Amino acid sequence: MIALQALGDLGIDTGTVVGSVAVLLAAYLASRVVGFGLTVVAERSPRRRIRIKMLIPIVRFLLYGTVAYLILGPLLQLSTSQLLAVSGLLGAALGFGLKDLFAGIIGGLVLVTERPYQVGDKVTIDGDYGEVTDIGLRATTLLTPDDTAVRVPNATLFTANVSNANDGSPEMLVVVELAITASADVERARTIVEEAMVTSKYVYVDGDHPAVVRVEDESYYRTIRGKAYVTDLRDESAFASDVTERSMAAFASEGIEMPEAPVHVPSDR
Amino acid sequence: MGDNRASGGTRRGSDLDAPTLLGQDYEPFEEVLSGEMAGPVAVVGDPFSGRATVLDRAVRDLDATRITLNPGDGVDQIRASNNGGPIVVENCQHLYERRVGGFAELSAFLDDLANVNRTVVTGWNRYAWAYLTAAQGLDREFPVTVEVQPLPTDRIAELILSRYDDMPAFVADEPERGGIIVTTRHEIGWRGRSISVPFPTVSPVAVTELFADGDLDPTDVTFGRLAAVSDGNFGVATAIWEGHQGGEVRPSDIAPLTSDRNLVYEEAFCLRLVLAKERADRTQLSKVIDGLDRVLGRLSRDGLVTVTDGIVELVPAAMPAAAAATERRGLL
Repeated sequence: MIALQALGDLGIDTGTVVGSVAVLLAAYLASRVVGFGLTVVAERSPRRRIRIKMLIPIVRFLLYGTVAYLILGPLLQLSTSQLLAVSGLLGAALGFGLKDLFAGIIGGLVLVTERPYQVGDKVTIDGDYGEVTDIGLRATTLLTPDDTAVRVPNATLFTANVSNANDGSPEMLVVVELAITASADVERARTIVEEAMVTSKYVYVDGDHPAVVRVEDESYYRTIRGKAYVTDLRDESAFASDVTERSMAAFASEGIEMPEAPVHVPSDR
Repeated sequence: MGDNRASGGTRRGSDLDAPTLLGQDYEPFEEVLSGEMAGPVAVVGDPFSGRATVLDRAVRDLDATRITLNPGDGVDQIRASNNGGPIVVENCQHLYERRVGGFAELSAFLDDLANVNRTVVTGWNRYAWAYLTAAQGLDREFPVTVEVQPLPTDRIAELILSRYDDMPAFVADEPERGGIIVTTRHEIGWRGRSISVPFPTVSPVAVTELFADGDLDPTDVTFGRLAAVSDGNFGVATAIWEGHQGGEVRPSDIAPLTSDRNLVYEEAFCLRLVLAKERADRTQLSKVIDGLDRVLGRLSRDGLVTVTDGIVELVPAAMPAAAAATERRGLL
């Protein structure tokens, strides 16, 4: 009641409030419909998925931006006393807990304009790794490899490091590591891992996306580290599993021994 | 453009020749055959596009020994035919398998190739060539590479019209047969639910008619469409043409074989392997494809491949659909 009284004092009648709510609802529904439509189209074309999904947050911010303009437009023509009253209300709202919401919205605007990541990218934000499935007004949703949805406030962008594994491309570099004993045939093991990578059904290889294998001596064993790109970043773990499985089978059939005791293979990710 | 009245069709030999198929690439090819340029040369082309015709020319001009590789063949077949003279090796895509250890035969062949000083002409499937170039740097081993080019509409029309004794009557599409927007329904999954959604697509035939100034000759429109759906591939165009039954043919009757459903990853990958091999050994595929029997069953029902006596073959009329389905997924 107090809020309504305050709005009445500003010259905003019930009709304006109802109209604003209706416009907000229409914008919400429109953003859901557009998001659904673009997602359906994107999922039908794996190679263009990320480029199409990139449009979703842009359309959403444009929609909500238009709504904000339509609703706040009348408020922009305020008298000095009305402006003071609105400023007071806004200041109080920010002070009482909307601070994070506003920081999230500003973060969302930065995401849309600077695009450090897009819907469909694989990113690590503040220690959480996964595919970006949604960039909302307030938060970004990540889907982790364990199928857990993590909502990260957009404002985290200002305070934490963000690493993007594919930066808008459908292809992504995947690292596969296997250990062999110090006495094993390193050259043959290297060839096996390389062939396992380039023959995988998930691989993407060309002059700009080569498959490479590095050997590292760890004193008691050797690490064979293969790096290759997958055609679709969603196949990251399927590719790693496929290459590891077939490499191990080939090691076994060719007598290349792997250390029996558990060894710690350092990861560069 | 041609006789509009006929029915059925007795097939005659093809008038395809190497200069037509190779286009601008014919010049370096001829230089290799005449000894002006050193080989080895790789003739690369789509399945059914006429690579064999180009290799026929090399066999004739060089008086070479022809070796045709089949699924399961290796470098031993090539070495066994070695009489010291020029050789033409057809279907070199059978020299590799998509598995660990599957490049051994190819590697041995390339080693042999590096040590010979006679003319060697090799024929490669384009998809296998692209994969091997990306994965093994194959193109570095061939100083001369020539590609079979897509044929233009008028050449395809000329070849088809001269190939059969009888031709069906060419009839224009009736205007009411379809609008510019053709709606097909597709199943779409979303959060565990499946719904049938109308998917509008633009009809190429209707658009062509829309922008046509006056009445187009139905023969021209039919062959224009045949060239478009076959990507200028004469083998595919012939298969699509022969797939049409009846005494009349309309432009809208010319359509490649397609699958109405979205292929799952394993099916698309299997199809890609068959596309790259043209004829694949079922035993070889079973080492690479999980649940091969079911995958082949589904691809066969879709009309994309045939399986006979342990050999999986790509259906010529389905080649454009197979290429599109696998390229949409970015498969190599």
